[in-house]
Amino acid sequence: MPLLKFDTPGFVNDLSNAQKKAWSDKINDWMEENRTDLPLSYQTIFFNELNHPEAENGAIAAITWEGFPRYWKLKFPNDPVKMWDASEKLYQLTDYSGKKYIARLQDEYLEWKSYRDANGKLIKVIFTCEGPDYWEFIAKNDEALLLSLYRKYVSNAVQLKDLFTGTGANKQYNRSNKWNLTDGIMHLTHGANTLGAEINLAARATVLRKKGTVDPVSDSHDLICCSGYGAESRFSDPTIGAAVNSFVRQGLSVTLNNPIGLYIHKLDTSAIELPAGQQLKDFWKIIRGDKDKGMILRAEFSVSEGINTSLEDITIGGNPLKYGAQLAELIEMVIYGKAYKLEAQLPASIACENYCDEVEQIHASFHQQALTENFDLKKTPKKPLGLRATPYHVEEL
Amino acid sequence: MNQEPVLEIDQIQGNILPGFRFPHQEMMACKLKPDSRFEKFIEVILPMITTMRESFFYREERLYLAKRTNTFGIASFSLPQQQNLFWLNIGLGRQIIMEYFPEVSQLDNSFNLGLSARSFLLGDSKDASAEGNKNNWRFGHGSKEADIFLIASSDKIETLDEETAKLRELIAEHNIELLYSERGERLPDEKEHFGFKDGISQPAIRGLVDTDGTPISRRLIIRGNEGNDTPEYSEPGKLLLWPGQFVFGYPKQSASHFRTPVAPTNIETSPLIKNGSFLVFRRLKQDVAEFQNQTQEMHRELTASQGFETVSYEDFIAKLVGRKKDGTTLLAEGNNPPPDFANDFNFKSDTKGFTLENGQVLDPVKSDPQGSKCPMFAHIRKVNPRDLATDQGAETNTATFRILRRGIPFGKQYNHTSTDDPANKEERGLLFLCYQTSIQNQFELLTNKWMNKEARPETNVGHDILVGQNNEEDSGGVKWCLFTANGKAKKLESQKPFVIPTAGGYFFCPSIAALAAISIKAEKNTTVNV
Repeated sequence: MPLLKFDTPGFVNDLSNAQKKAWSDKINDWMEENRTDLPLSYQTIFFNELNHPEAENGAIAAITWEGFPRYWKLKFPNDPVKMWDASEKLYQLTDYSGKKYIARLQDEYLEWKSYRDANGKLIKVIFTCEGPDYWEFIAKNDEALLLSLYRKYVSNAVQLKDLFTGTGANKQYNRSNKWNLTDGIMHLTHGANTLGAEINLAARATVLRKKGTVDPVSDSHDLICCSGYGAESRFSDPTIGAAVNSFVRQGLSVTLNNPIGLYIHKLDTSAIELPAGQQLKDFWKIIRGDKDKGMILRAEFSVSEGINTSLEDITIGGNPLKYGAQLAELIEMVIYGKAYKLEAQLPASIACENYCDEVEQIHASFHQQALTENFDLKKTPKKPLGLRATPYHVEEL
Repeated sequence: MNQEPVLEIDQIQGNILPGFRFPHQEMMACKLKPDSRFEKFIEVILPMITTMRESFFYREERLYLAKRTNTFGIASFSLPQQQNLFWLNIGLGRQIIMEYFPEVSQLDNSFNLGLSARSFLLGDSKDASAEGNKNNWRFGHGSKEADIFLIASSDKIETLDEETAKLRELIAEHNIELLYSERGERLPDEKEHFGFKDGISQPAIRGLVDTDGTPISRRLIIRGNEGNDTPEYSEPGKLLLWPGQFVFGYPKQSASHFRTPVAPTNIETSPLIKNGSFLVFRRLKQDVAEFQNQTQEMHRELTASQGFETVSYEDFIAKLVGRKKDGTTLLAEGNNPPPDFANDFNFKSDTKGFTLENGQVLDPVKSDPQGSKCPMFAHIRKVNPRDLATDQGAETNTATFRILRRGIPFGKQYNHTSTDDPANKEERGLLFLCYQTSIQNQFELLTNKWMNKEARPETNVGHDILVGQNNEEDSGGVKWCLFTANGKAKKLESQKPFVIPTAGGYFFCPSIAALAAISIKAEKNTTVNV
């Protein structure tokens, strides 16, 4: 059946029919914005399926990557305990526009929070990959629904005032509210972890590139440096971009398959050793989304009632389970692309724009400036960067 | 240009660099008992440990004579002046290492945990009744975890018989328990038991063996290596890597640059760590009959599908491996690489048109970025993506995952002409050994992240059918690959394992100086608590 509307991520059924329609319109706007920002010849290479019902039978591809941040893997290559510990803290991030915010430094579209008992023992881990965009949409359209969902998934103690800043015309949903950071977790917090950024990445990645004698470029890192759709140092961005671009190189147009979302594909169970007689289903529970469709939005790892064991009795690759990060290392993320032949001929490749060099320069000067009082808020890149490529400065809290 | 280090070749064990390569080898795994005289044992065998100096200069002589007389393979071991050699190397398990060299614990968490603890992460069966489950290993798990691993080797089988008999006596004399002992024999034409030529791709090592500038890896190329940030090859197909990837204390390969190294850390250059290396040993049983059953069934299913009717069985299994049985690269089709440099190919970009010191000029070899010749699920592409960027990072990073393989087959060759031969029921396989300075970021990464994963290191086209394992919940151990040709695709499944781990361990192979530091203690102590 041709696509008539964009559904909510993972087909979650939180919204009324009118709200669902409004959500579909919002996604449609984003798709159109990103599509029309592309060079003219690529505006049907990245397509909006609502405008192309003939693409209903296009090939759907799962594009997967590791959920644990490569940032931390590079920072602590030989010290996993320090790596796990650091990856679960909160940080003050400053983006290049000067905006400061507190977030998890978990930037592969997966975030998690480890819950501990009074003795510091791990008792529960919650994983989420829901973009803040969806929750801002709910906050704007239905505060009662927002509160009820927070109470259902995070805590009965949540109050509406906890979720907003300002009053009157200045009232704004606070992504970094305490129930999403220190006292709970509802959705993604890192500035690069948004649905908008996902669409932006996919759109920019459709552009074919040429570099020197290579035309078209196929290497994942050359592509990201040519098109600036993300950070080459992540697992996610180079992988997603290369997969999208490979469809285009095969002569196909590309879109994100409905429902557009970021998903946990699966928990790789290879390295998990449970106590004798125990089963994984008594620990790994899908809270939101659809496991069978590979569209998990929220999951919990905890000991089910009636099971007489503790999480530390479980080992992951021989290490007792003490950090949610150990499980995050086993999580495979996914987005779903759709490819369909809309154009008889591909547009010409566009010369590589060497974004990586520029991002490196911005990073260097940006980090220097961020540490001084004369931080230049107007410092912007010469070329427009992808939303996932935006540099940020990190300070430990 | 970066200065290459002079390696301390009297300190490095000879199987690490350049490797023993002898046709006859025996692996022995031992366990210490409360009354074992470990330090005394080290004192006694220390003079027997073969260094890099011995194995390097022997190799140079053998290769020189081999070329002069056109005598290659196992026969080349009859050429050097020295005959009836007996070479020995040693690795020590984590418990011994923590007692004598606790600083090693800062190098690699996987070593600290041991192979048994990492077994499931490597994809081994979780079914306690399965042959490959660690509970059923010949050694390596629980009370059978090895403390000492010995690699004994000779050019002559009689010499190896005699010397290993003496070694067994020494082990017994020092109240050490011999857990396991098994002979490895190189098969004709360097093949492994499934019939494919093995051990072809090894990295070339930067560095010198003396102050006169003698390189570890001979440099044959005079044109084609130009550039400051491109890969550099010692000879066509042999990428030069910094030695710190394999031996502690030397410059390491950078994740972001092919030619500029990363300096070793203070721990890595400390006196008792320097010149050491981590060794992984896995006894991999190869079930030849099951390999044939599974691959023939997959091939039947493939050729029953439209568009694949004409694919031959030999071509099909070559695609699973990434080479033909004689070792020929699948990228050679349409190219014409000379036999000496048949390993000169890349996946992403065409190779350079190298000019060699003897004046020989090689044509560039066409690459295969889409995997149309060598599929992305092929074993050799999974474990060595060469010039490709991967899910783990840029192409420069790909070079950091390489390992030095030193494996040798065990067991008799399968009798294909008489399948009822009782010998076919005997075990055969590969005594897999590899050296590296990070088990976690080299051996384990290749196994867990790439061989065992259907969507890594490139795209979602399947597992490494040859050696990969799938122990994920509800998978039933099934592996799959997406076979493509002429715009058609067919998903094929392998239902049962045919490479089964049956023993193993992680070891640290200390320098001669570090072994001497243990033996010195023999004067003071008689036993060691483990």
